[in-house]
Amino acid sequence: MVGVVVSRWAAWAPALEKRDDWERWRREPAPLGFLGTPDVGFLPPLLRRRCSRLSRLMLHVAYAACEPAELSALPTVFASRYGEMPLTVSLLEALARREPVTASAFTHSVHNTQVGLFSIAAKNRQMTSALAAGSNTFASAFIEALALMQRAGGGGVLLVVGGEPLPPVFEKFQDEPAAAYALALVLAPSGDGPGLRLAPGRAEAARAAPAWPQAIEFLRWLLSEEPSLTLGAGRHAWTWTRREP
Amino acid sequence: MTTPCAVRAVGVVSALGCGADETWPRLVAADQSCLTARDDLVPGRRLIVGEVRAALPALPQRLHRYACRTNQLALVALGQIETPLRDVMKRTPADRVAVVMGTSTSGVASAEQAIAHRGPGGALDPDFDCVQLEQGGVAEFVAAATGATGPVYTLSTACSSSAKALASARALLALGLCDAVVAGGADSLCGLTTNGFHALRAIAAEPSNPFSVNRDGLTLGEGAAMFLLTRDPGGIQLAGAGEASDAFHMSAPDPEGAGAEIAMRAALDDAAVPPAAVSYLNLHGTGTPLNDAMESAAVHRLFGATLPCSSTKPLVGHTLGAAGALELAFCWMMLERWRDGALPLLPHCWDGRTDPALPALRFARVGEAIALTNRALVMSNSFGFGGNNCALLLGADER
Repeated sequence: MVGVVVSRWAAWAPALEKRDDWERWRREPAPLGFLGTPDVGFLPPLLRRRCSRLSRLMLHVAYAACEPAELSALPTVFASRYGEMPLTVSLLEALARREPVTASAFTHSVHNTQVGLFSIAAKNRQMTSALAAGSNTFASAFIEALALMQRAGGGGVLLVVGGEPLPPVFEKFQDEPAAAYALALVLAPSGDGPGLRLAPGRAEAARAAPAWPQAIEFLRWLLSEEPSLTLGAGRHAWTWTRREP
Repeated sequence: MTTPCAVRAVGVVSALGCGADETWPRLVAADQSCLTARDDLVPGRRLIVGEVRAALPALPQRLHRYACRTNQLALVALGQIETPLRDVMKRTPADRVAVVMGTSTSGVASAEQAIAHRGPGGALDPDFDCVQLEQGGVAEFVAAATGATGPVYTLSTACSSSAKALASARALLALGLCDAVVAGGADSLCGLTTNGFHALRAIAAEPSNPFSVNRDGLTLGEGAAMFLLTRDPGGIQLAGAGEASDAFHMSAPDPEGAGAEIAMRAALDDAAVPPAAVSYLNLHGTGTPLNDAMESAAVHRLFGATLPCSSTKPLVGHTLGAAGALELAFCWMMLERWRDGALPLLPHCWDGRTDPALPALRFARVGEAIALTNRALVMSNSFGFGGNNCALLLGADER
């Protein structure tokens, strides 16, 4: 069991941008939309042009969650189940036609594209990680954030999770709620903010699959007063509980 | 970090062969005869590659949805650690066993076939499953194959993926989130990476020739390496890990090698040892002009020109997401063969033509061993796209 404090958070989904929006959504949660893109006007134009929608989603919440001084100072994990799937599909279609792929498209198709762009934009030379774990991506990224905290010798870490629906060609594999979203959490070993503990859970304890992504179910719980949350898929489940400050 | 992290077993497959016994003689002989040429990867170009030529086993029927070449390679390496893993799992609850994998391609080769051969109406081959394309699929597959139900995830930071998987695995043990980890990486040759690196003009015409004045790029390869790690003292230890970002460019390293140097220093700090305690360094050494220039600068600043170094990529190719784990496995083979005060070195394979523009490094030669008693520490470097750097330290006491 490992304890941690959520120092700050930011989230984005269509029509859900500000904290008040999310508070309202918590009271009446509903499936998220999948159209639209958040603003990344804080990026220099050259980097902005290289941002896919997933990059915009994840960088937007990363910048919204961090204090200015944290942007370059926090070790960071970015996680998404599918990464740059629309770009990957377009590259695979080019290969199928035996057409050349461009260096830039290939470079920006890697799974660590978002964290790479973030480290460049924020001039962050700390350790960074890029993770995927199927339908357990959010819980696994939370664990990797704790592991990153351990590797960095304590202090805060930035955790960013995002996703978007699969492109049409892979639509039949969409087994999670289709949504465009991102959540950023600044986690610290201690300090201000809700204190949480994470421990292995029992998959039976997980609620029936919510109609929104696991990261957003975590946010709903964080904003609620429910004592615990179990998220899981398959044989893997994790339980968060609140702890006294 | 002082929590012990024992390397209990290692499985390995690459162009040099399956398992340490087949790999080692070719590795120390700097044998490049395992490299082959492929005409089918990049239209209009013959590529020299480090391909695994052994027939790969099919996945068990119950794991059919994970069927792809990368997972077949992972299965081969996993098979080599099966007995010690089974022993550990007899004594450890399945939810205390974690899986942390590194890959950069996962099963994208399967997706290439599925997209290229769509049926009428765009129907995909019924054998294709999107999990083959998901980066997370490799860790899911290894978890399903071993029965591990602890933390299970894939790190995908391009060419540093599996090095970071090992660093992360060690942290999970230190945090007490598990008692054993299967950690490593796998990657297979595919159209996406070969055409991508071709577009970047990063692929050499001849086998890669790292740190030479004549170097002109990398050679791609494939393979897998699997480590069984436990929180035990003794034996060969994963003694340190250091990670840092360049914050410079998506596909080119910081020319000064600042991020690379921070990662190497952090690994030394993590193990609480000075640079002089390191006996050998396995370089990232891709053979691209930029990597080798920045890496020589960073290594020279930290270690000077006397530390024996080599790149093993001219022998197996650059195995991308698998490279960190594979090259650490080569380092593990060295330490396993440290006997009677002599540590055999992994030779640097090149044309011997020093680049006068690069700070001098001391490259290990074929057949070379160094006199060493008490404690041996060896380092392995991995640097990925997006400026993602990782250095790992393996250590052993006199055996």
